[in-house]
Amino acid sequence: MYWAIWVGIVILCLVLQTVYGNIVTICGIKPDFLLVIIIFFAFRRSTFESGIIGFIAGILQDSLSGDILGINAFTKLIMGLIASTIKKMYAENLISILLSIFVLTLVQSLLIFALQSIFVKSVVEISTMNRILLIALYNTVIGILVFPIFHNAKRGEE
Amino acid sequence: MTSFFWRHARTNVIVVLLSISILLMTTHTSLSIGYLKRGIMNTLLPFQLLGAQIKFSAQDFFSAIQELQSVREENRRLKEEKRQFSLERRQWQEALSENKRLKNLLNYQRRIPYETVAARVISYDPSNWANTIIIDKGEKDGIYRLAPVVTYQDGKEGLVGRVIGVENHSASVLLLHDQNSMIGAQILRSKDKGVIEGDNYRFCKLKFLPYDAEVVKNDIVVTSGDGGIFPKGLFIGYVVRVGLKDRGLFREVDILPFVKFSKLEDLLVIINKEIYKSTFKKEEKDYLTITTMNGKGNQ
Repeated sequence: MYWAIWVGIVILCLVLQTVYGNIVTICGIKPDFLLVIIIFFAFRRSTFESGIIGFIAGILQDSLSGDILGINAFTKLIMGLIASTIKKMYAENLISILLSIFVLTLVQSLLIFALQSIFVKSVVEISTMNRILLIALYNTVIGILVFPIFHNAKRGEE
Repeated sequence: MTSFFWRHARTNVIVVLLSISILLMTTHTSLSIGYLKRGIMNTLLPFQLLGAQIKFSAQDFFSAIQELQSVREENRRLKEEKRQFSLERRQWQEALSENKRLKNLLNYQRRIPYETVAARVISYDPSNWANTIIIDKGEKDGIYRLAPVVTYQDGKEGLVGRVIGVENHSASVLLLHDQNSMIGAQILRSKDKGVIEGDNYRFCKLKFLPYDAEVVKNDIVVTSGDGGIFPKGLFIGYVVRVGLKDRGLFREVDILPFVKFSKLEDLLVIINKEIYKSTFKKEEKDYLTITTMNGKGNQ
């Protein structure tokens, strides 16, 4: 049941990102809801589970994206693992989560660009770096908005 | 080997998944990968359709609200425009009606063989027991006391009354149907003469008509010209009731004036220099007589 809820949340985020993407786009930048959700998940579940949910989210995203199939599955799996590892070092609070979201967004974007440059020879430009920073900021803002929901949900679970 | 795998099952699963991801990336252009992608896409399609449906419904809802606001705004604007148009239309109709009225009056003015001064009604008598009007032309415009006033109204010309008081730029007119108004008149058809007297209401009475006068209902009555104030032949009204012949020396006839006194607007004051001179002389003579008498009295 727990997994069903989380897969449901992942699908919901995916729908939000694909169907409502144009609504939440600011200056051509849309947030990565899935990454934010994976980080929240990773902060309360094991590394293994975080990796699994990252993979599922990524493979679903890849299926709906024109990007290379597996690129998001790979990066989100990695992000799940890293976030879950960070959790072991820092307690779950707003600052640690927001910092994780910001840093992991940067890492994920760089990883994607690295993989893209390997598989499709894309070139990373300075404007792309600015774009990555903005995505990281946007994701952090989304993290601020989402944090109370997950915080209350966790209290309910306890 | 198997026991090693199960001992590190979780790590191995992760490694497997990472390997699958890398495999997918390396073979992302292959046909079988395309099938896999399409399969996942088809699985997610219902969720996307549901999301899109919710989005469209929300968009429809908000656009309906926006539309309602714009419709409300448009409605307000149209109401204002309608009010403006109806106001302009009313002004236009008034101007048209005035133009028509003045054109008729001008034609009438050209037809009558007297010099006339066009005037407008400024005010009506506030009393129920007197029927006078004030016009916007006075002595400075050549108006004199006792000058006849006529008009052209609804396709009919008719006598309105006479000037009874003159100021520099205005004059009072005693209307035909006032009880103090007495005008020499005659039946147009038979030439039988009498005196028109007002009744303060709608009708006038043609009095002093000879007992054997030929008069029937709808006979037209005009001024007789007797007395020298009103020129002969000005239309007054038509007979609506003829008195019985059974007794007395005269017959009494009820006349309905052609002019509707409640709708008076534009008038013509007939200027007859001869009458003016004679009237002025008479008034001057009367004035001198009175002054002389008073002077004598004082002496």
